[in-house]
Amino acid sequence: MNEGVLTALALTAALAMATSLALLLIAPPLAWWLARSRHAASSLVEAVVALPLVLPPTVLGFYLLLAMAEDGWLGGAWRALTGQPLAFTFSGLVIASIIYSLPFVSQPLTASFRNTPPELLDAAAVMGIGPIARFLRLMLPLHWRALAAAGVLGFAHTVGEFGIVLMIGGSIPGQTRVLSILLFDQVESLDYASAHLTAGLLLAFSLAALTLTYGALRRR
Amino acid sequence: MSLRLKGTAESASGFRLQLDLKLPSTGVTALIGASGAGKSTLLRIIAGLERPDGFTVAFDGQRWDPLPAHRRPISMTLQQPALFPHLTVAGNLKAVPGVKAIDEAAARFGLQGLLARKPATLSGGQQQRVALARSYLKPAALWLLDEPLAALDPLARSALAPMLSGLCRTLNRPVIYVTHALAEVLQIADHLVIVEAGAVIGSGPPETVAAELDHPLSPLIDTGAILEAGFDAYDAKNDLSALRFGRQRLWVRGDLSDAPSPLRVQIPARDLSLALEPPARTSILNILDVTLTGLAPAQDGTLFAELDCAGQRLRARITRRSLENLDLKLGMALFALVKSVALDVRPG
Repeated sequence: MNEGVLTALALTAALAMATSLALLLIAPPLAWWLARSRHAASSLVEAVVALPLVLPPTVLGFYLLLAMAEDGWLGGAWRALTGQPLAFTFSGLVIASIIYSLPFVSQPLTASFRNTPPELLDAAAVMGIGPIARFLRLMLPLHWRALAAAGVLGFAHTVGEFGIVLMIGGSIPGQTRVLSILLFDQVESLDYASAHLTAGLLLAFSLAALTLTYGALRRR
Repeated sequence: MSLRLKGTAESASGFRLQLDLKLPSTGVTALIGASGAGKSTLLRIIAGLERPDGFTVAFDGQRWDPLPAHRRPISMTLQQPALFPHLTVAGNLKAVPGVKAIDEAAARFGLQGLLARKPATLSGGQQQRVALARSYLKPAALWLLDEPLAALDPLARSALAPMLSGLCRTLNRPVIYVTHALAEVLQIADHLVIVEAGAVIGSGPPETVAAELDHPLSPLIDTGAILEAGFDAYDAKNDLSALRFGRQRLWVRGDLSDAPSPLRVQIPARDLSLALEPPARTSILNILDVTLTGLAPAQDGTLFAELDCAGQRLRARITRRSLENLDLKLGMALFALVKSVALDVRPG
């Protein structure tokens, strides 16, 4: 394995780890709200969250690129906050990945949360357990399989990202050149031997992650 | 000292519960009514699981209706055990905020051998005992029991019923007990509330409330009459106990010599027949001397004969044809044939 592959592998793992950890903080409360809310706005929010499922990554990438530019609202705010640019950086990739992978984490959670028997929540309430403790201490452990599955899906989907990374990250080794981009570069330069290795790595990883996810969701 | 309930609640399906009720805040209050009468909804409103607009819930002068369920000083068992499937029995008990010691409750509800088990491995009766123990562990000003025995098979029910009755009697904590089976609460209720079609049709001490109902017999729930009687003698050969009230005697099955006294017995109006003369050679054991004191039409075209029996009130359901055949007149002395006596005392 050459150094380029190792660097890309480490970068991909770091991106996927950072993204899925952030998503495991953001998605559960969001999914809980979506599962419980009867508010009219929740349908709109649910649709917005699901957009990355149907939009071409290039569309999302295009808007994110504009937002993350030096004079964009996100890029400007980031610059004011950290002094760093956002476009074509690792941080920018993490933010984009969070948005892009959000539905893959929030949807299985929302579905699982919606299956909570209502009497369990009633029982918790009359036991004197407040709504936050009810969620953190009872619902999260109760839905741990869905949480695990959602985490793996978020991780795997981030590993599989291509279009959006290309749009806002380019292909800077050690910064933004993840495995999928590396594969694209290898094929473009007709380095099929290396491309085989990279593609095989991605294939094996994705298959393993999905098998794990479906296994966790099945035993319930 | 009272629990005040006043307001209107309407469900999405169009069911309407409307009441203005004052309940004692001590002792055992039984809410009885047919399925769908609104008694569980009322209990959920007291608990705060449902909070209809403008519905007043006040306990001993304290307004509860602004509080969400988890802030109310209540404890409740739901119709289903509602145990957390990912926790063990001990975990379920310790999930009650502030609870550390569970040994006493576990012993009281016979859970010592089950503490490490997950709910899915327990029988329905065991699960309900865990649910009862869990609600027993929460310190509360008011204990709400929503059909605690309804989901159980007859065997599990007859095992749990005496224990629960004993607990309600001995525990110095006000209880509101919802059931559709009057027999479950007959001996323990200090106050009886009868709910029908979203309204309270009777509320008072058990001995008088049944007799004073305006519509004594709904198509679904036949409270008939509730009498108080003392144990008299036990006939071991036939396994029958004689109960006495005034000069009248009632035979009921089983040995009741150890039962608390006085006992309440319930005689449904449909299980009481009238005769002008004492019938000879009948399988009916209990024939009471009664006086006809009134006649009231029932909703379905039949009649209720109001009867006095040694100073206690009874009701019999008769047809208009029987009224004509017997030529019944107020003040007539009659014989009331009792087909069944609901008692359900198993000292616990």
